Amino acid sequence: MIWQDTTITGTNTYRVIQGQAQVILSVTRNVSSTAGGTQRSDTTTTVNYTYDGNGVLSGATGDVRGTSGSQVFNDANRNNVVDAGR
Amino acid sequence: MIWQDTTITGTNTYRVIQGQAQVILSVTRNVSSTAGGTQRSDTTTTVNYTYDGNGVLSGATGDVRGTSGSQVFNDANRNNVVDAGEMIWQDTTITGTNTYRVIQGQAQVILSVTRNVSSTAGGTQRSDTTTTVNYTYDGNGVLSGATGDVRGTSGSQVFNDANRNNVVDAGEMIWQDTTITGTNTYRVIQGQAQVILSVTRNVSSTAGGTQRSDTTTTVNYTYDGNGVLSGATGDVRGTSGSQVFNDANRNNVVDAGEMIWQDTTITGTNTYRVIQGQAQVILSVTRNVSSTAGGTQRSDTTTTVNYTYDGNGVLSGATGDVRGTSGSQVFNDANRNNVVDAGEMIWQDTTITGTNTYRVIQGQAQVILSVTRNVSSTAGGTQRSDTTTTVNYTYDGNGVLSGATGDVRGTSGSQVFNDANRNNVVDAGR
Repeated sequence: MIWQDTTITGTNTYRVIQGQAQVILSVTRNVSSTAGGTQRSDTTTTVNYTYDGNGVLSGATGDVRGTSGSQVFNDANRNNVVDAGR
Repeated sequence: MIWQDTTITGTNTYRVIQGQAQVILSVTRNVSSTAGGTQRSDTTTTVNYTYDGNGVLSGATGDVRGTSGSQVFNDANRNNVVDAGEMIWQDTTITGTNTYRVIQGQAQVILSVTRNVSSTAGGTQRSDTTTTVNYTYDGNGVLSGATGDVRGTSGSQVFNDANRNNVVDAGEMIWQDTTITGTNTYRVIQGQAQVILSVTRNVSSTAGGTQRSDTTTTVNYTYDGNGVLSGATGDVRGTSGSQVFNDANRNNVVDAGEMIWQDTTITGTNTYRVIQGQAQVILSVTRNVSSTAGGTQRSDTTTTVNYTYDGNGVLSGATGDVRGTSGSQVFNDANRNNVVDAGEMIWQDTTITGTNTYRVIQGQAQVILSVTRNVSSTAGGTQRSDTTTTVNYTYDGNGVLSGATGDVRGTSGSQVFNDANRNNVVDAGR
């Protein structure tokens, strides 16, 4: 059993509503890769929060953008060996 | 032990009644300040005496007018140092009436009603309270006891960025007031009625009624044998709450019954030190415990704030931290039947540790930076998260929260099976 960790970096944008700082936008990037470095992921999740006039959270919209990838073997020279660059 | 003196200047007006010069009006001014000059008081007490036809004192009426004030630290440039011009006066206007009874030939105050009205320099904080004290005397006219209460309001202007443009537009500064009701218990020490217990309830809600707070602060004062304030202890009890939207029917519309209260139970202790004759809070420890209506989310945090004062008793700084846990119940379908069976709702808790950095603005310790670390893992230890949230708060010159910025940094992870030896068994280290 091995750990697969994700590095998280994000920014939150606030507005002051009824004297309270409320998050209206969060943008969070998650970057990970497997131990051997053969799989990777880099995604950014964006959430827009909306509040009513009294500062009560009323809704949210969001999206995710990014990439994930895997290394695959391309035995270009057909020698059944993982050669450099292949 | 230091002396705090009051300069007294007064005039008495007399009339000759039955051959005796009797005082019919006394006007007395009392001016004082503390040793360091950071507190001041200037009040004038007026008493009108009445006599019957035989020159016997029959009654008295009177009032009190004046101001009292304190210097407060306003760390305008947020450098945590008292620079030139950053100590400012906050004065209180005092108006009161005294009711007298003649006991053993002396006019004694049996009722004092004193109104204190104050606001900060920028006008963004205000207070208007009335303190009533009923004095009792024994048959010889000796003060034997007192009871009293406090009624009033205090309020702060807050920024409500209604159009979310991060600019204070017209109408976006609104008042949030607190209703104050309290009782004071007195003991007579060295002939003076001294407050030994104050119990003050503060009730507030936001303009739209979606946030509320109801707390009671209790302070026990102790005095030495000479009636000098020697210490104080106290606590805070109450609740605060917010309305939250629970879109039960998932239609993205606030239907009837879908705004529900989420309340927090507040219990705290305050530790005081007597500085320049005033009991000042040097340590507050406040626990906040909350859970959602269905009981599937919970939070239990304790906020500690250490306050520091300069030699004159002026608040000069504060440091603090937050410790606690928050958690959510999650479904663990252990037998894979897609039904929530007994024991399949389990808690996933997060350990919270944070530090708060404060600056003193208009005499109030305000959080300018909070750094909070959240660490969690699942019951089986196969998932983990460790993130730190940083928030920088900004305030305008009057100490009103004007904005905030922040970020999140950290890691989350999961354990995965790596069947390195291809035997389809979880071997050690694999």
